[in-house]
Amino acid sequence: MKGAAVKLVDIWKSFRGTPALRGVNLEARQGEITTILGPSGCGKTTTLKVIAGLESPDRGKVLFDDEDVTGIPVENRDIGMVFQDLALFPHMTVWSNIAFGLEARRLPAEEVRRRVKWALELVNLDPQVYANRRVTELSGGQQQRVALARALVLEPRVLLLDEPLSHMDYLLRRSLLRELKKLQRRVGVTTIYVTHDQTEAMILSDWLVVMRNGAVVQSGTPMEVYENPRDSFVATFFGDGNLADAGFFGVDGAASSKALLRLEDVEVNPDPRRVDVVREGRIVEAFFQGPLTRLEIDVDGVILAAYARAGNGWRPRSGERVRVGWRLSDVRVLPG
Amino acid sequence: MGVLAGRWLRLYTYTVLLLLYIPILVMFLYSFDKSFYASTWEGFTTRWYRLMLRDTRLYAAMANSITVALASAVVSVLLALPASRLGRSRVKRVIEASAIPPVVMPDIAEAVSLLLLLIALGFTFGWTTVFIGHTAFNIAYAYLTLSPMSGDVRRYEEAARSLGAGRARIIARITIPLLMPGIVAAFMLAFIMSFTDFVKTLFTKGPGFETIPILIWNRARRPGLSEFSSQNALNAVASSMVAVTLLTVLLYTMLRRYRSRRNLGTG
Amino acid sequence: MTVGRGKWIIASAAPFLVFLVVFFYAPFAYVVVYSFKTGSGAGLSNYIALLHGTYLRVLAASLKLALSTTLITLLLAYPAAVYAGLMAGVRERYIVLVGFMIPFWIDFLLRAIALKNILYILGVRPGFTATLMGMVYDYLPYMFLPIYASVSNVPRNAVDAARSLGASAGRIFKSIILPLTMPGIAVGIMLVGLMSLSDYVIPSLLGNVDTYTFGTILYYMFLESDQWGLGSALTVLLVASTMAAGYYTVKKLGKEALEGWES
Repeated sequence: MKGAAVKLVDIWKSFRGTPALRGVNLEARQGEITTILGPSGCGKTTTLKVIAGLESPDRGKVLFDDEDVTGIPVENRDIGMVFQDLALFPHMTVWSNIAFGLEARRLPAEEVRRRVKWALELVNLDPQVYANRRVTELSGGQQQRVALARALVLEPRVLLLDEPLSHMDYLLRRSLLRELKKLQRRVGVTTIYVTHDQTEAMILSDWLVVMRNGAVVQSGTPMEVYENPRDSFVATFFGDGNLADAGFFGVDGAASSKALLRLEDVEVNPDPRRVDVVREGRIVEAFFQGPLTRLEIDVDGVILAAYARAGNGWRPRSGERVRVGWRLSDVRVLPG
Repeated sequence: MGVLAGRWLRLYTYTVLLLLYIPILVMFLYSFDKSFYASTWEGFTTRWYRLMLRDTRLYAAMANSITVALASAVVSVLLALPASRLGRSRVKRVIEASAIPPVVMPDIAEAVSLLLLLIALGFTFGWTTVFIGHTAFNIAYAYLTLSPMSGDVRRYEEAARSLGAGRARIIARITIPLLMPGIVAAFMLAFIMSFTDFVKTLFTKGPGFETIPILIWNRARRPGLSEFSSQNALNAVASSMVAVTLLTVLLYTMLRRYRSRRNLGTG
Repeated sequence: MTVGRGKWIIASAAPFLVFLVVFFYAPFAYVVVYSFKTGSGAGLSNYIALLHGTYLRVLAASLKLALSTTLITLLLAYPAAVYAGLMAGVRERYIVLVGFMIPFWIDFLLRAIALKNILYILGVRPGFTATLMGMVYDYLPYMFLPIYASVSNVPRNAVDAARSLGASAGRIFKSIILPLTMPGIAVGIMLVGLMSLSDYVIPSLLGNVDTYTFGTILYYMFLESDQWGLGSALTVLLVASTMAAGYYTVKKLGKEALEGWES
């Protein structure tokens, strides 16, 4: 399964007069996981639906491997989709759910049987045990896998996932994410994943597309976007950071621009030889978070967040005076 | 609220409940009474039930009741089903709004209006006019029963489309099976409403046509006209209908529970 | 928004609309038009006649019956609904609920016949009292169910919380239970009020010539005397007041009242 490269060219879409997508341009490379990240209402699900063919754009083109599929309805686009609520057919068994798409293509029974078995094994569900179970009897994680199997069994050109983990609890989400990534690596299909959760985006993506208000704000590898956010929205949506005037951080020139300093780059009670700037501050609040404690420190009226490592006997308390420091090279001045 | 208040209220509630059932039980009891009237008990008999078997007028009324109810239920579901499947649009909102008045309006108002219109149009009154009167209401009820489920089903249809299924396959394997409980419910609702209807039938039936409720009512108004109209004979007929209703409801509830456990997991 | 299926589906939904328009809305329109027909063309004479003299007395009598029925059913049903919804255990609630629902399923007419037996035994002759009793008996479940529905939405913890704050039973009722059950009460009142106003069956079996409801009046006007003009006007009045009551309730209490109605 190789999958196609997907390209969206200048997509515009409105619903009843309100624009949902304004000139979206996007590229998802063949065989990679591309994540569309953004807050609710930013248009990410609509974008996914346009790629799928469940919505048609008012303007713009959808290309699969340079083939214009904009006019082709979803039934014929050869995609596999996992919906937010999974949409497993409740009146059918696991087997029938997965076989559904294959039967729609009128494949011979033997072929169907072979492929459904393969799909079940691919997602770690033992066919002997699960094939005839009703989907409503399965746990959340198991249903998730059936939904994936149902989409992948068709060997689609593109795999589309719409926030499939949003209904799950934290631990389940983590383990499923990892499995999903491993699965994708094995199978190699072009995958487009939509989420509002930055952690999911960080773990999964080969390529990240950040959206807001119907437009793409920034795209790049996760590391690029993390280290060089284009504006304060991206800076705080993907990764956590301190935003303040550049001058506050000690960066000359463009003193009134906003600058970003990541929490992990703020050193508490630092060794002065390792940092360029040192300031005095008072702890306003300390949040215990296991291996790290998140501190909010008042430095000359600006609240900076920083991490302190547990251990070495220090229990940070609010009201305590501390020193903070950072390297100028870690400060990112945001354009515009 | 205090335990004491609770105890009084409980007593009260069960008393009210009991009072609700006593007339029905009495009616049932007296249907076995030898006498014509439900006053002094004269001895046990099944004569009234045996009388029912000879009651040709009852058979005629039953035939009418059943045929109208069946026809009305079928037509109502057939008309309401496509209407309930519409996606969100202006048309849908019109249809949704139009289905509410029949449910809210007192049926006598509609019956009366229909009477006027049908006379003006020169209809002959009988089976057809009764059918029309019932169905005008029943389609609204059927629609309102089916419409809430529609949204759910649409999700699955979308998923099926993403898997490459064509329209026919989707309708056959997804839409209809998932809508089936709703279709059955709408059908039964329409059937029962038609079968037990009185007022609409009264105004649209014209002379001579009878359904079971009309028959019972006609006889109840003129007791003593014949053996068939005696109070206890009516009690027997009424008790039988009550028994049938209860059995149907029981059947329906059991069916629902069985189905929901099968299809959609523990309900 | 499904692509390309739109027109086909809309066409198949058309018969529904057509049927309703022809056999439900058109008749109403006809009646409205008819109500303005007078001996000499069009006018309000029917309406004016209704609101004077004998007719007015008769309408007032119907209102009196309807109001009495509504009030009595409300007083009878409310405590039971409060008990079942707020105090009874899960098992009991189910029993009480089913207990009230079964009469609901049993046809109206049959229950009236059943009650007729009792009234006969008790020696109550057909008339106002008998009709009132019959209506209360038949309509009690219709009042109980909506009130029960809204009572069961009162969180039980709320009552416990109020008690822990030292509130007396009276205050708890007034400030918590009553306000929260208002939607149910409103629906119940509307339902029973409307039904008892327009009912025909019960007064025809348990009433005498002086027992009036809009139902008996309309029956008389349409099927016994030929006063179609007056009858139409009365019908319009009935429909108008139904719509007004419905609109008012929905406005005040939102869509949930309508949902309660539906169930």
